[in-house]
Formats: sequence, C-alpha cells, structure tokens
Amino acid sequence: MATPRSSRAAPGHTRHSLRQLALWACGLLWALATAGVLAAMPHNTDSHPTTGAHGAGVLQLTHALRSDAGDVRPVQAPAADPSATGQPVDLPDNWDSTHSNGGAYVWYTLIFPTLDRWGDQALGIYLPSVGMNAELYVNGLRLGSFGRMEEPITRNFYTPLLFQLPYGLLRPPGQDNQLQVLVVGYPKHRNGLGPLSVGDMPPQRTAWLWRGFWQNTGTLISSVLTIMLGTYVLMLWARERSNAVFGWFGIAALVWGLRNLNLVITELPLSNLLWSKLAVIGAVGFVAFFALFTLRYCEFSDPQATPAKDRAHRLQQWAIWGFLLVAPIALLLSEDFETSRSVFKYVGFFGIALTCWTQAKLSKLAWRVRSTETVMIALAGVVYIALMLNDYTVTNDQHSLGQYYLRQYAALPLFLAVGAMLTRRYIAALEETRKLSASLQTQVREQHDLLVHNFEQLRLVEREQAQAMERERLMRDLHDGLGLHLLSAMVQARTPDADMHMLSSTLQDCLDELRVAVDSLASDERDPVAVLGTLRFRMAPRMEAAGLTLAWEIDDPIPELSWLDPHKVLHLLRIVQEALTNAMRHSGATQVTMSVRNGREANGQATVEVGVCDNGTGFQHHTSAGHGLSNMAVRAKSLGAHLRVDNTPPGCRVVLSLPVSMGPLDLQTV
Amino acid sequence: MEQILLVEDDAATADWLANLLTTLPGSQRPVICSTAQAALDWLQHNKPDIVLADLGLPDRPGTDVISAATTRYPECDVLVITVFGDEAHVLAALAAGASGYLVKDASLTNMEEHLAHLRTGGSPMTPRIARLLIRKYQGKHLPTTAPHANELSARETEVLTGIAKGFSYIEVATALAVSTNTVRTHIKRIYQKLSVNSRSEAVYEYNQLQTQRGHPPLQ
Repeated sequence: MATPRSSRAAPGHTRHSLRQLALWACGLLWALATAGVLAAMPHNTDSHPTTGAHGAGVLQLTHALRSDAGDVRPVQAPAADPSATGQPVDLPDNWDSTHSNGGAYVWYTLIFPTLDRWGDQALGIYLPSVGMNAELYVNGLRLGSFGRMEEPITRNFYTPLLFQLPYGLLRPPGQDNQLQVLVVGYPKHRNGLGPLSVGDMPPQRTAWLWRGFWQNTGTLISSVLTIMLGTYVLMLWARERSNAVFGWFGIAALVWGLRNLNLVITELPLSNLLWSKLAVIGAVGFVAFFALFTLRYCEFSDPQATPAKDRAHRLQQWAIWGFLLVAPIALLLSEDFETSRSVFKYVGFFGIALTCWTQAKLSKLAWRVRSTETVMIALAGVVYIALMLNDYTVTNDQHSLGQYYLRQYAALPLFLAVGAMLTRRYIAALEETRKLSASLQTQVREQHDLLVHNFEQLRLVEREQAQAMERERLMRDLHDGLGLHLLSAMVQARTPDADMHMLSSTLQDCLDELRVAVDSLASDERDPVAVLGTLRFRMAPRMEAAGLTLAWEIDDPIPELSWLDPHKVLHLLRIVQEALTNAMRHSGATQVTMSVRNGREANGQATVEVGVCDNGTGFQHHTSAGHGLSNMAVRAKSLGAHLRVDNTPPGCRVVLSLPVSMGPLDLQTV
Repeated sequence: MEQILLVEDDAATADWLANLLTTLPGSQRPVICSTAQAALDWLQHNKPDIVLADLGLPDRPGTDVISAATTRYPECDVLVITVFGDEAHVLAALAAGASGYLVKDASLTNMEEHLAHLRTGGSPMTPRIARLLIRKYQGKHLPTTAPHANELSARETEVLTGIAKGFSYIEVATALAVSTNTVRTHIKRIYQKLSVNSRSEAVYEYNQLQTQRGHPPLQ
C-alpha cells in the first residue's frame, strides 16, 4: 500500500524534492488563506452597523425591558406601560438562563428616537439573532413576524432577521418610539434576543446578507460538500472493503455533514429536545469515527508501528468505542434540556479531549513522516481544534446568543485534505492492480506460447511417428504383395517356354496390387461403399473381359465406418480383392456378385456385411486359394471383423462382417 | 484424318501409344511433344482434333498445355493420360478443360473404343471422382464461392451418385431408364460445367482480390 514518502530525498532526486517543496508551499499558503478567511469573518462581536461606523443613520439598541407573555400567543401588543411590569435587561439577553420558569412567549420593549435624517431614507430593523422567532410591533402597530409563532415553532435561532420599517409608523423626529418584540421559544431551551439596530436600510442589509451567508448559505454548502465527500469515500470503500481507513473516514464525514444540517433546518421532523440531542450525538459520532480513522491511518502510515503500539492501539480503540456508545445513551436518557445540558458538559469535554488527542496523533505523524499530505492534514487539524474550542464555549455559555459556529467551515479543509489523501491512495492501489494484471497477462501469454510450442513439437513427433508407421505398412505390403508377384513373374519369364498368358496375368496382378495400394493411400473415405465401389470399378472391365459378370448390390444407406483409416482400407480392399481373384481364377464361375449390406451380429451389434459370391465350383482343391484364405482371415482379424467362407457348392460365399462402431477393446487389439 | 497431339515425356510410353494410335482407323501418326513448351509452340500454328497429355512434364505443368489447347481450339478434345488415375490431379486437369482421362493400362488395347466415346461425348469417370464432384457441387452453397449459372441438374446428380457408388454406366443407365449414351452425355456435360465453373470461379476470386485492392474488376 501507499508508503509515506520521506522528505529527505536522496541527492539524485532534485526534481522530486522540488515538487515536494512546491506542495509544501501550497499547503502553507492554503493554511494561511484559511486562517485569513476565518479571521476576516465577522466574529463573536458582530460587525454591527454602529452609529460610529455608518454615520448617524443607524441606532444600536442594547437595552430593553423584558416581560413574560405566558404560554399562549398574545394577539396584540400590551397596552400597559411596560416600564411598570418589565424588567430592564442588557442585550444579548438569554431568558432561558436568567428566567428559568418563564413561559414560551416573552415581550421585549425597546425605546428609540426618530432621527431627523430618516425622513427620506429606506428604513429597517435588523435582528442578528433571535431565539427562535420574533414578531415586531412599532408604536403598538404590528410590523410583521418571521417564523411560525405557535407550535410547532420553527427554529430560526441561527437566522438573522431584517424587517422594513415604514417611516409613517414613526413618531415625528425627536420623539421616542416604542419597539415591542414578541419572542417565542421552546421552554427551557436557549431563547432570547441579541442586540438589534434600527435605521438606514443599506448598511443593515449588507450586514444581514453577510451574516445570512455565513450562517445559513455557507453552512448548507459546507454540509452538502461534506456529505458528498463522505458518500464518495464510502463508495470507494465499498469497492475495497479491506481498507478500513476509507470506511471510517466516510462515515465520519457523512455523520458530520448530516449533523451540520442542524444549523440550517428550521422545520423539525422530531421533537425539539430529541433533535437537539441528535445534533450533539452527531458531533459525538463524528469525533469518535474520525478518531477511529486516525488510529487506522496512523497505523498504516507510521513506519515505526510495533506490537507494543498495537496493544496501545487496541486500548485506544476500546476507549473510543466506549465514548461512542456511552455518550449517546447518556444523552438520550436525560429527560430535559437541563439534564442533557449537564451531560453535554462532560460529553463535550471528553469529545474535545479525544479530538485533541486525535489531532496530536496526526501532528506527530506529520512530524515523523513529513509527507505533504500528513502535514496538510495536521495543519487543517490545528485550525479545526481552535474553531472547535470556540464552538464549545459558545454552546456551553448560557448567556451567549448570536455567535457564529465555525467548526463546519474548519472541517472542510480537513476533509478535503483527507479526501485528497484517500483518493491518491486509491488511485495508487488501482495503478498497482493494473500493473499486476498487466504482468499477469504477460505471464499468461508466455505460458500460452510455451504450451503452443510444446504442442507443436508433440504434433511434429506424432506426425513423424505416423509417417514411420505408414512407411512400414507400405513396405510390408509391397514386400508381401507386389514383391512376391514380381518375383513369380520373373520366375515365369525365365522358364524357357514361358507361358505368356500366365506371365501377363501375374503382371496384371502386380498392377492391381499397386493400384489398390495407391487407392488406399489416396483414401480419405470412411464409406465402405465408396471404397469397394472403386475396387469394383477397377476390376469390372477385366472380369468382363475374362467372361465374368461382376454384379454389384448395395443397401441404401450404408453407414460410414468411423474407424476406417487408410491402413484398414488396405486390409479391406485386399480381402475383397483376394476373394474376387479366387472367384475369377479358381472357381470357373460365370457370375460374381459383390455386395455391401446392413447386418447384425448375434449380440445385436450393427454390422456392415461385405459379400463376394460366385456360381462356380468352389476352390477347396487349390493350395494357393487356401493360402489366400488364411491371409484373408489374418487381415479380417486385424480389422476386428468376422470372416465367413462358405465353400459348399453351388458356388462360394465369402462374407466379411465389419462392426459399425468399435469398442475401446477392439481399438486396442487392432 | 484426325490430327492427334501426344504430349508425353517418357519415350517408351510415347512410342507405344503412338503405335497404338496409328493403328486406329481414320487416324494419322500423332505429333509427339516431350515437353510442355514444345507442345505450346506446336499449338501456336497447328490445330489438333485430339490432345493426349501427360500431367507430369519436366518443364511445366501439363495443365498449361490443356488450357492452352482448349482456349485456342474449343472444339478439340483433351484426354489426360495417367497411370493410376490419381484423382486430385485428374480433377485439376478436368478443371483446366480436359474432357476426360485415360489410364495407362492393359485396357488401352481398347483405345479405339475410348476415343470413340470421347468423340461422341463420353469420358470415363471413377467413383471417387464422382464423389469429389458431388462434394464440390454441394460445397457451392458456401457464401464465399463464386456465383455460378451451371448448377448440376437433378438427373446429372443422379448419374454422379450412381457412379460414386460404384455402378457402371450401363447399370446407371438401366436404373435411370435411359440409354448408356445419355449417361455419357450427362457426364460430358458435368465435366464441361466443372471446367466452366472452375474458370468463372477463378475470375470471381480474382475480381474479389482486385476489388479489395481498389482496382476495377475484370468483366
């Protein structure tokens, strides 16, 4: 797998180290840019349009009178003078903490003067933070509201609000106006009102747009990106299950992305309490899964892994799993916000500790390995920790209201760094597989070539063997047949009163022998009718010249004999030729019938029966015929055929039964 | 008087054949060429009625002589002389335009009969050649072969099948209820078709090749 590259490159690798230097520079620039963007963000102290910064057009309101409005939504602004019942508070005011028995609705009454310069301006009221929704009344007249004001209450605690303020609602310049803000929230949840401003619209709109962007749009984008990244890595993992690094990171990213939707979802599918718990559990899950990822990642990337470290690893793993199981259960068991908040303190503390440990591990790895990707991850991790601490204090601070949560942004560079690392590793693994398969293909081709070569050699040997056998067969045939006939022809020719008729007959035999041999050589036939038909064609004219008719009777169809190779064709032809010669020379017959018929053995096996019958007197008195008969029997045996010779007059019947199919035993004996 | 050209490189065989042919009524002593080139030169200026050609000539294949003779003088008959009736060679000769073949055999004593048959349209055919022809024509249904107008007729196929099974002309004629001469005519036509088809096949394949190379085909 991917082995971490050392930055201490060998002397010859200048290009390699140059590239690494460039990557380091990029990483540093990126870290600086991230830090710069985060620093430029409006931080905990909102970049409020202050009177000082934007001239005299905008009033900053930080004091209010607060009075409970009960559990039922008031339908109009309280007519009574609020100063009589209201409690003066400084904004941001978090009534949840200061007023634990309060109802779900609270009135904030604020006083502001009408400025002279407002007459020809577009005016607005900007509420950077309200928990959860607000309804505004100006001088007793309803200006409007944002979010649903009754159950189920929408969650707009992280949404900045901007209302248009018609000039006509205001008292004449110099006089004071009364702004009444009805705030609705979940009982005992973090509710309240942050500092708000009244006045010229343009600077307030700008502030509202920026805050809206960072809090809502940006968070949504980062959540979606994180979810996509997580899904992508999980898909990689699904293709390569053995690589747990991918799996843990994918789950961590997915959980984190889903969890951050908490900041942008305003309509809850669940009860508010359960939703809040789930948001915290999501954070717990992320921390734990990321820690598991880090463990695996360090395990794979650390060149100095030892068994002792493995034992420590296992312990750490158990601790992480314990956190992952215990924290959610404790959170889910807590009955209300009060208890869950106290649980959160511990959970959050342990979570931060775990995160710090995780990042320390990553930093240590980066220090030891010093590859671009480990350093990038470590740098992103440091930024992440700083912002996470910020978030923790925000969540833990009962009085806080209107602060930014920043972790969702900090996680993005971290995730991108890790995602890039994983992608590189995945591609490297892919490349390795491809190389492996290529080399495998080469091996297979080599083996194939070798096999083909061997096979060809084998075939060559076989062919040589077949040729040798064929040569031997021909030699024997020439020696036994043609040679003998030629010898007797010579003997006849040397006798002083040579019988010319006999001599020519012997020479004719020589020619016949030769022709049959050539026929058998040229034969690629498996059809006995074709083989014997040719013989009949050869013999018929001469037999007719000798005063014999050669009848030819065949069944239709006759099966082909698959075992009939040239060697066996020669045997078959010689047997029939011998029978014909006998009929012609020794029997005194006038008619010979050659036949090829379908037959059947006693055991039911199909046969082809080749018959030669004549109407002569038989040939039992001739020794040469007897010799021919024994020759025929030997040939028939080597064909695996059955030869019957019926010599009783009238005539002679020779029948050769050829098996249609040969058993393996027959094939062996032949 | 019929003019016979005898192309045979073996002097003894040539002499023997020439003597045999001279005894035939209505024939003059044949012109003997011992090489293919000599035969081709002679064919430039002379017209034979019958050509007897050996296939194994020293300088060029005997099929060259056969195709030269049949191309120049389509009405002349060409007989191939062979010892064993080696089918592959005979078939090549027939494709080149030969009308039949003679086996160098004692049966050459009835040369007169052979030649008479040849003139009246008959050529000898062995069972094996008949089988080769049947296969050749059955193989015509393959898509790569040339289009041909000269399919075998049903009757011709019957004749071929009978001979392929080893029956004589007379037996085939009896079985088909026709005269022996009709059978001979059929066989002659089969040989002609073979020759024509072989040529058109060659042209077709040549044209295929030309088209592949981007040249215009022969007409």
